[in-house]
Amino acid sequence: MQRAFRRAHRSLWLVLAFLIPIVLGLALMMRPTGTHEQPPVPLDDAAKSALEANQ
Amino acid sequence: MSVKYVPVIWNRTKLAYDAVVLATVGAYLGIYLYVAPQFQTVTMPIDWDIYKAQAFGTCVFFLLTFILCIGPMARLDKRFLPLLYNRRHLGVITCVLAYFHVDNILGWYNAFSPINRYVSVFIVNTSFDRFLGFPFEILGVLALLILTILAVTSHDFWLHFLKPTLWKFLHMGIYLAYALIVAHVALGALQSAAGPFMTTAVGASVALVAALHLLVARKEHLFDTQESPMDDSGTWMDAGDPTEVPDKRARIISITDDERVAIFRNGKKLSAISNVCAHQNGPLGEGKIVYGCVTCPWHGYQYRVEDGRSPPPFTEKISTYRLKLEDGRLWLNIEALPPGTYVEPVVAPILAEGS
Repeated sequence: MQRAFRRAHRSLWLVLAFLIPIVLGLALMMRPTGTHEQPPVPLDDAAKSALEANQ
Repeated sequence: MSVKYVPVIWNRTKLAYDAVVLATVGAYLGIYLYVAPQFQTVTMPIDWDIYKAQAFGTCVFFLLTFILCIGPMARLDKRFLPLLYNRRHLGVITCVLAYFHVDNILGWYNAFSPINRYVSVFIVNTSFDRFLGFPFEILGVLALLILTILAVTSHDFWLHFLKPTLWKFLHMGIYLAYALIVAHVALGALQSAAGPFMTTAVGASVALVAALHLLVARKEHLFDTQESPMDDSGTWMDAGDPTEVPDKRARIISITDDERVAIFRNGKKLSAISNVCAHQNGPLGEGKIVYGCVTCPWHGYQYRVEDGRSPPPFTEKISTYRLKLEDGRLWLNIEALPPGTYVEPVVAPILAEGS
């Protein structure tokens, strides 16, 4: 049983040693870049007057 | 070792071990929560609940990385063996911290939902067909489930109930839990990680854990595939020069088929016992003889070297093997004798120091 345990340990880590970096690498490569902040959009005249009216 | 049921056999080593672990965890959380924010230059600070969840989450991840490194490090270098002694308490502490992480997460992200917050974890995101956007919370829940099962069954009661082999296979689940946690972090926290620290730390953790386990697996595989010559009858294996077995220590022999045998020297006497401790299958041959008994390097279980029995009042026993000397070579009979069978030691002079 001891050797069976060692075999299971070796097989498991051979799989995990490939699988984990692949998942980690893909997740990091595919993640959205940038700051998630949208550039400010200038207000048009109608929006400006509506804002001033509210203030 | 204990002859009667004791929930936890506390001793000074265990108390010191746990005290160091708790102090380290406390220091990590204290620095993360109270010291580090003072050095941050953010215009919009993170909410306190999220910050606490991050602190507990990262603590769990680093603790789990450390736990997974202890085993292979102890196999590669005996100086790390003391870390192994109370590793189970470290695992239980990690599980408890994981629950604190979950509590903070649910208390923030799932608290404003009209649905029960425990239920909402499973139903708010069902994008199982996507890689990015995959419900990484489920991965965390599965990992927590495994950690809980392992923590609950970490007690010696379950070790005796399930027997060491099954118990050890069950506790290999920690590797699956680790893989799930890495995926949970990669698809969750790392997607919005601001700086390179967490990404680097997770990558380094994965590389370290995988490299250590593969290194040990290779070392064990090479040892298992070593072949010693057999005699014509096929029952006696050449165990080498008897003078090279160090006093109070053992030479480990990989016998045909499956198991390993530890040949111990106690002064001029040589005896062979199973290399497998009855407690948790620790490698007895990597231990030494203390007060006349072979002492397991993992948890200190002891056996008399001549009959493989624990000294009274303890009742553990392991298999013994016959030895013989022929033409200055030591020969090992590969047929295991029933556990606890007395075998007369072989007398062989120890190699004179310096010769």
